[in-house]
Amino acid sequence: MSHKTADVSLRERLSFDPAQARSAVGRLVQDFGEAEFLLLSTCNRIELYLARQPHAPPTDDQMRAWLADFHRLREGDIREKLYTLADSEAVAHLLAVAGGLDSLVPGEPQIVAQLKEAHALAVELGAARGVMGELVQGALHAAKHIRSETGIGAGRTSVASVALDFVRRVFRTLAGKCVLNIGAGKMNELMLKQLAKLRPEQILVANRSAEKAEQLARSCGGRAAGFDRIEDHLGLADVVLTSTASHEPIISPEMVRAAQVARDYQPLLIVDIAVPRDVDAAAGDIENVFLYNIDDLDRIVRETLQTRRGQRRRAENIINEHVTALTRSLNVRQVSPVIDALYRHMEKIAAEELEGARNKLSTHEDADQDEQILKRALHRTIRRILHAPATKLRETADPDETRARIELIRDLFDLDDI
Amino acid sequence: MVRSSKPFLPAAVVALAVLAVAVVEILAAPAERTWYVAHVVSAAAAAACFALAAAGGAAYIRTDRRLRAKDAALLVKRRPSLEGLDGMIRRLLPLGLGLLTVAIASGFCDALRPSHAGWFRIWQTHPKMLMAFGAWLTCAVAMQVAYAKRFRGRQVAAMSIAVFILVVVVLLASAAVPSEPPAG
Repeated sequence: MSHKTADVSLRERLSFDPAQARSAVGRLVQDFGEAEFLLLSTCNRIELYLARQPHAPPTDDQMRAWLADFHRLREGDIREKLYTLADSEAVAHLLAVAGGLDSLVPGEPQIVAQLKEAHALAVELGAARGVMGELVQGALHAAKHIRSETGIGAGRTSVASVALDFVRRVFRTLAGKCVLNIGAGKMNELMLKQLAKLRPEQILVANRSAEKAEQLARSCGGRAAGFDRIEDHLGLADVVLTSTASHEPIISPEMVRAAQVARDYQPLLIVDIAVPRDVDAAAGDIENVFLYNIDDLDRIVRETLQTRRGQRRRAENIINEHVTALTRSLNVRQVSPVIDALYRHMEKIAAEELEGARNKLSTHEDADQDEQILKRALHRTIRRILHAPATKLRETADPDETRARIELIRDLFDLDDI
Repeated sequence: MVRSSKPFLPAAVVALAVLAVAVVEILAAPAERTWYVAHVVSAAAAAACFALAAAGGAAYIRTDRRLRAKDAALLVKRRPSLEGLDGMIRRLLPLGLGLLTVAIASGFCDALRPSHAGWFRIWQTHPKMLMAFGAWLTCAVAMQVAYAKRFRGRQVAAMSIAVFILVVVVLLASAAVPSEPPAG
């Protein structure tokens, strides 16, 4: 289930917090020990990856029932919102998830860490062994390839992070700098908290309501400043963040010019996210003043998202390459035991035949040599007979065809113990 | 695709080329001309400093323009901040001026050695001397301006480029003027 098939209220009910994830994976190992599992639960998806032998438990229906039962939900409530993928489709989906193509915001990077965490838990509890490990490593490798070859992860997708990037482009560090925040709304709080992470020396918070200013200042390690003394505060600030409900600009170009004189024309960055704007646009023309309003930041976010969407096709091509390679590798893993069993079977027959023939060989002094010659001949014969079918089995790309061939070989050669 | 600006690459090439020429001059110089060696080395080092400062200035002006244009591509790759570039220019310019001072002083000492004293008898009017002092004076004035509070950012960046161009012109012109008296 993901953000594409279910809304947040249903996803919340089916999601797994860390403790639940641990419990769920533990139970899965207990109930279906032969299979391998990977549980990926994030704010945008709840996905259970399963690696098992053909026709072995658990079935898709069993898993749906299990999921509903774990969360004490009725299966009927979630059935239509769940999607099931198998074989190369499932592999392709995992690679797309890891590459950020299936995320709410294309290219978001958190999914890689979340996938690693899910895998680490599965390994710890014995739910992930060879196949799942190979699958996850393949997915992470594909994700790295996608991010390095395409622009799908480039740029910023939130107004706050774009503003922060502009701060970093102007200032090497905020150490020794002053941040002035005007307003106490949600956006102010969000952006001020991001700025506080850069550790400015001083944070001033000015708001019409002194109480709200005080509250916001305390939450980000700053101090409240008088709203009626904004002109004075401007003379101290290196970064100004403003978002008030004022219908008229509260900062004029004259105020900014006076502040710049007082500050010896040090660089001043103003982020004005108010609508209507708090800062007169002419202030941005003053030397060493950089002014950004909400439209500027929004435009960059939109451009970034558009660029990321445009990278989709390239990313999908990369995924297709990796799916082919990974599927082939997983197939080899599947056919190797059958091929080994076939060789062992043939060798066993050859050994039995050789034992029988030994009694009929002459007893002259070269009898041992004859035996060795015969043994080598039998060995070569087996290798030559089985070379072509073993090669074809390894190279079969289609999982269904692979399974069918495996079944046929098992049946024809009576390889019950595989 | 984002066009990456690498102003430091050509500047570094210029700086290395100047230092390479200096090394060649030093190796070719006779043993007794210590002042000459000091002159060449410090002149080359000064040119290298001004080259790097000019590169920083070019990067500053470009970044400043793109910030004002609110160019999203500027945010994609890690680049030096305006503050960092400004700081770099302000460290390199005085260093360059100091080295230029050493270069001029050591060149003066080399020029006035007994065997050449006749050649530089009226050193106050000798073209090499005049050019060197003129360049030094211009750089010193530029430095004062750069550190005046009124000038920040773009002005200082532009000045670093102008200083570098001036120094290169003076170096080339000075190289064209003979340092040795004519034979006989």
